[in-house]
Parts: sequence; C-alpha cells; structure tokens
Amino acid sequence: MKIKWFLLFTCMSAFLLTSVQAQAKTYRYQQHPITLKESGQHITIRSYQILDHPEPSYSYDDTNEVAAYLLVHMTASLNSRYDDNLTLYSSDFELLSGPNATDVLSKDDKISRLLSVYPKIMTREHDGFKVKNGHSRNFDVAFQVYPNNRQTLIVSMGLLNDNQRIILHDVKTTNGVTAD
Amino acid sequence: MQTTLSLTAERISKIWRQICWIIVAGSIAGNILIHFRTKNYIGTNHTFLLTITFLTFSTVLLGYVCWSYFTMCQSNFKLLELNQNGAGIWITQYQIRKKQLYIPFEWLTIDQSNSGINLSWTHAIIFNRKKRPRLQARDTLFIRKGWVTANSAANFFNTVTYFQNGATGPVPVMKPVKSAKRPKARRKTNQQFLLILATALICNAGISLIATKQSPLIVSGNDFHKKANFKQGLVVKSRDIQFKINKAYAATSSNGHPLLILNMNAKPLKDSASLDASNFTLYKHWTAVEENNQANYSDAEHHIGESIQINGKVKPVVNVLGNDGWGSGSNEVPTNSFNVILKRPNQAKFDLVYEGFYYQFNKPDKYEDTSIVLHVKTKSLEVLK
Repeated sequence: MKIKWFLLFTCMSAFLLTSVQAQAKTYRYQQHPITLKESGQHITIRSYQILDHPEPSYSYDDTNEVAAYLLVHMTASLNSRYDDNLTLYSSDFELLSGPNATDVLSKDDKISRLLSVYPKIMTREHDGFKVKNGHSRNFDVAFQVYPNNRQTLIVSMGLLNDNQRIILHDVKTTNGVTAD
Repeated sequence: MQTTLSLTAERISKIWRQICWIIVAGSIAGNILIHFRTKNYIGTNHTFLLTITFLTFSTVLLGYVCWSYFTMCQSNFKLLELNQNGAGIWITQYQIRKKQLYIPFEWLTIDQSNSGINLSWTHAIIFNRKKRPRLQARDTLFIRKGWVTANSAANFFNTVTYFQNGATGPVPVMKPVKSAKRPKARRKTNQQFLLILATALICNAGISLIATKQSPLIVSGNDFHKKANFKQGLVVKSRDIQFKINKAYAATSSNGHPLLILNMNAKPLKDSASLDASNFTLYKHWTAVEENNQANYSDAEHHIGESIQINGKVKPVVNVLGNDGWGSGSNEVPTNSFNVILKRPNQAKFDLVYEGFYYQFNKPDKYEDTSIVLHVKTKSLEVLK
C-alpha cells in the first residue's frame, strides 16, 4: 500500500513539475512587435537588426572575423497596482546563437564605437535599469553573434522569472549544415 | 558384508577436473566474446562491468564446484552407508554443506539393473542445522556402475537386500573389490592441476583487463582516451557528455580544401559539463605523443565561420559550435543539434579527437572530462548535396 501512495505521489509531483515548466512560452518574431506580459511588466520587442557596421573588434574567439553585432530594440513598461518601479538587469537577457549561449555585451568588449551610434544599449555594467510605474522606456540589448545562425532571445521576467523565448531569426535547413 | 558404498576417487576427480576446465574455458571464451561485442560501443564502464560480472559469476561457480569436491574428499567419497542396527541407510549429499538423509528400510525400494542401482524412497529424514529431524518428500537416486568400484555396487545391493529381508537366511557372498586406496602420485597431479587452474584464472583476469582497456594500474594517461571506430549515427560517451553524431559529411571549403563537417547532438551527463569548439581537433594519425605536442592537423575553433561549396554555390554553414568566452557567454552544453567544422587531410583515414582535458601525459582530475578518439575512414563520410 505504501508503495502505491509513493508511486502516486511521484506521478503527481512529476506532473506538477512538467506543468510548471510548460508555462514558459515561445514566440516567433515576424516583423511585427511582440509584447511579453508578466505580472504587470510589459516588454515589447520592437525589432532587431544584425549590423554590418560597426563590426566587432578582432579576438581569438573569432579568428575568421565572421561575427556581427545583433541589436534588439525593446520597450519596457510597468502597469501595476502594487509596484512603484520595474528594475531590469542585463542578466535577464540571453541569446542563443545556434548552439551558443551568449550574454549581453559588456564595456570590456571594446564596444565604444557601437555605443556611440546606439547610446541606449544596456550593457552589463548598466545594471538596475529602472522604469517608473505607469511609464515606459526604450532600450536596446546587444549581442555578438554568428549572423548565419538561428537567433533566439531568452527573456527572464515576472515574479516567477519565467524564461520567455523569442525566435528572432530562424534557419530552415534540411541537411542540418546549410540553409535551404 | 559391505556396509558402505563410496564413489571412485579417480573417477570423481576426473569429472571434477573436466567441469573445472569447462568453466575456465567458458569464462575465457565469454570474456573474448564480450570484448568483441563491445569493441565498437564505447560506454562508460560498460565493458568493464560486463566483464567483472561475468568473471565473478564464473569464479563463484568454480569455487562452488571446488568446495563440494573438497567436502567429498574429506569424507572419502562416501555416498551410502548402512546404519549400525541394520534398519536403514544413510545417504550423504555434497553441496556447500554436507547433508545427510536417513531412510528406514520401510520407505526404501532398491533395484539393481545392468547399468547401476536405483534407490527410491517415499519419505526421508533429514537433520537440519540444529540437529532436528525433518521429513522430506519422495525422491530417487541412481548410482551408475561406472561411478563406483567394480562389484561394490552389487555387494552393497546384496547387503541391503539381506538386511531388508530381516537378516535371515544365508549370508550373501561378497565379490572381491579393489581397495580404494589413494595412489600417492594422484595428490601430485591434483597440485599440478590446481597450479594450471590458477594460471588460467590469472590469464583470464589479464584478458578481461586488456579487453576493458580501463586498467587502473597504468597511469600513462592513455586510459582516459577512449577509442572507437567511427560510423554514421555513432553514440559515444565521455565522462561528462554523451555525443550522438547524426551525420558526418565530406565537404569542400570556399578556398577548395577538404573539410569534415560533423552534425551532432550532445547531452550533458553532469551539471558541470561544458563544451566549445576548442574541444575538437583532428590528427592525421593520433598518438599520445602527438597530442602532448599539440601537433594536430586542424582544430574546430579556427573554422567556425567556414563556407562550403555545394553544386558550385558557396553557402555558409549554420549553427556552428562557437568558442569559450564567445561574446562573453557561458560554454554550456548545447541543447539543440550543432555543427563542428574541421579541415581534413587527403588520406584514407584520420583521427577525430574530442579533447576533454589538456593532455600532458597526465590523467584528468576529478572535475575534468575524459577524451575520445574516433578513427574515421574517409569513405564512410557522406557527401553534401
């Protein structure tokens, strides 16, 4: 009898765990803004662009110099009865460039030229970006990517820190090696 | 009168030796079989566990056989014995512990045939460990003539029949029986036999160690390079990561040099597992010395942005595994399938290496991964269309 209850408990907990995991959503960016809503926090992905210019400075990580900057233009707003401020951190944003997980760019990456063109970029040093309740603010997030890969933005937001996935750029491939 | 019936020592030891040889031969053959069956499958400790299990099993079996033989030796191979009153017989059974059954004549039927004597009983009394009698159900025992000394079976049969009929009438005539004395030379042959057996077991252990190639005694570092022959769809495990090579392609770069493109999936087996392009290298012919000198032919980290020629068109390769510290990202194990590009030499075969740790004739420490060496034949690669 004990085993029966144990099994039931295990099944139930497994079910609960999967149902919690299933809450994370995946969106697909199709040239229209996408708004993510979570506990009154709204983040709108207005557009993204892979820049031809400026190019990332040379590093041993990219000896063939094929990398490019990917810029995501976003708007954050808060509309809540309870909170006064929405605070965003650069660690809330991550990019999957193909198989490679990439963090938001840092000032250490020699991005002064990029910052001079796009001053609203939230760098890793720029933590604690605040939005007042009832207001909205525009900001950008920048990553260094391989331009041919599938690009997926992961935003962690809300009280539960749900990971929302937004496929910015998809690559259709039948052989898995080159795009169709 | 002959009141006991014993098995022939020579005969039993011969049978015992034969059984031992069968077990030892089976054990060696089994290990060789395991070696060949698991040669192309590289799983962590898989071969090792199989071999150890098989070896343990055969050793236990051998030990059991030997132990029962020696309990038999101690009681001079005695099998049947008339009890003192002449009212029943004792049967000795040799298992790990010696067991004795008592069967009164009322329950016993004894028949003689050309091939031997057949005992059958409706009940028997067996004494357990606390010397308490227990009743046992019907059973039979057949004693072949060949197992006992000539005439002794017939003599014993006559004696038992005489006592079963109430010990009346003429005393049966006993035929002459050869004395069952142990010849001195036999002890020596037994010792020799045990020596050979021990040697065989040691050889067996050696074979299994060679077969597993995971001997913990040799600290040359090579034990942490698992070797496998490449085939399409191969699944290979290192200590931290399980790789599945979906497809391996032969391609030509935009500059015209031959490339190897691996499309694979990786599954972390540990939370601490990490992976990036610098883990993959290619050697014309891998040896420990070559890796120590870092004399690889090419490495994946210098071919990340490579484009390839397909039907005269140049196309970039997508979803290529990047480098550690790429865009200051973390080098976790990717969840989706990814590509790895390496320059390949123009020869029939070469070695693809996953370098899980920095090898300087050392072994990886606890937190590092182990390495894999894949022997790749160029003709086993698919051509991209």
